[in-house]
Amino acid sequence: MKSFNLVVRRTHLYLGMLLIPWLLVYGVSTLIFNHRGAGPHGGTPWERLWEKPHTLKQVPNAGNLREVAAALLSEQGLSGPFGAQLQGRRLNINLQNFRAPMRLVLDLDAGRLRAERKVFAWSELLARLHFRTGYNGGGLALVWPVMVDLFCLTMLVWIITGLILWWKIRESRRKGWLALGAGALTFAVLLVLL
Amino acid sequence: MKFSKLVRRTHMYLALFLTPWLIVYALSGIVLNHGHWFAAGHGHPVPFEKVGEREYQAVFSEDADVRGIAAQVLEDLGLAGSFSVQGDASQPKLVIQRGGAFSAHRITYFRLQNRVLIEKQTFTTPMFLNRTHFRHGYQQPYVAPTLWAVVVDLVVVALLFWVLSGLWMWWEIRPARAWGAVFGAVGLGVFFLLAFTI
Repeated sequence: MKSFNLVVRRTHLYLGMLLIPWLLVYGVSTLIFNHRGAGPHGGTPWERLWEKPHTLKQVPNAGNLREVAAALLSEQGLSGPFGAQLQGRRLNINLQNFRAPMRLVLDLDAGRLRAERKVFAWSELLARLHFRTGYNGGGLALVWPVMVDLFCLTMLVWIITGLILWWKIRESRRKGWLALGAGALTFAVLLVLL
Repeated sequence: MKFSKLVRRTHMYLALFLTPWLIVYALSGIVLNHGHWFAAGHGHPVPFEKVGEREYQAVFSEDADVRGIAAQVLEDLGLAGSFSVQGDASQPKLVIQRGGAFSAHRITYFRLQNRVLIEKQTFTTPMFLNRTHFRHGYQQPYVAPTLWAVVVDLVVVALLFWVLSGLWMWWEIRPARAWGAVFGAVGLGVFFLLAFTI
């Protein structure tokens, strides 16, 4: 019984130690989102890196968009998770990167390819760290969503182990029930009133 | 009460109070990280279904603010609460999105025809989780969303407090210092490696 108690305590603690950076990122970024005004949040501007003539070998359409974008990135020596969008006669490719996201903009009519990089800002870095989810990259990019999953599962583990640890402290049971009940009641009432 | 005990109890009671929010953030995080498993909650919105269409007689002054008009329409329909509105007051058609916790309504107000179309989005658990996850901010002039934003701030304070109090408690447990340091270093290493490379 003592060893089970110890396993619960150490699991709670060591997972916390491991995930400190994510706790800080999610905490500070949420504070920014919660106190940002209602106005537009376009963020920092894009700075132009280069521009050159370019013609695609394949005409992009909804069916081959990712394939065409991947080929274009490869030709430019760029790699990593990306999103592609066809906007009229313009192809936009957004390359994900926490510190300096890039985008390629190809004007299909003019045959001009432009590369741009987002000007750095701490608030935007935190937002990118907060919002990045999904298994849409290879290599190291695959580790991030694994950490996001680990963080989410750890939150559930913290709740379960936290409840066990609370129950073990007999003198705290009454106040614990009050805290748990008050939280659940506040949550339920707010959901109904929202 | 000793300082150490105060830190421990605050750590615990704060977590017990915030348990429902932590469950929502954990589950919605999984939904967001696995969008294709829950297609209806990520990138493929659940369609709106028509609930009704009715006459709506109202006269607004020329200088009426679009949010004021939308708030009045919602109140008259018995749907008052946090909302967003597309368009400006001069447009003949206003689209009002009323996002409740369990349901989302879309009200289209055809001002020239004095008519409103009321549509509702079917409830799905992933949609509920995502809407609850993204709910934040003090922009809505209603009590419940404002109190929700206060709790979101409390979650932020709690996250930061759990880090600091967790470090404090770790250092107090002498046998856990070495392994705790290892886990802390691995976490920092993985985080900075990813933050600087991807």
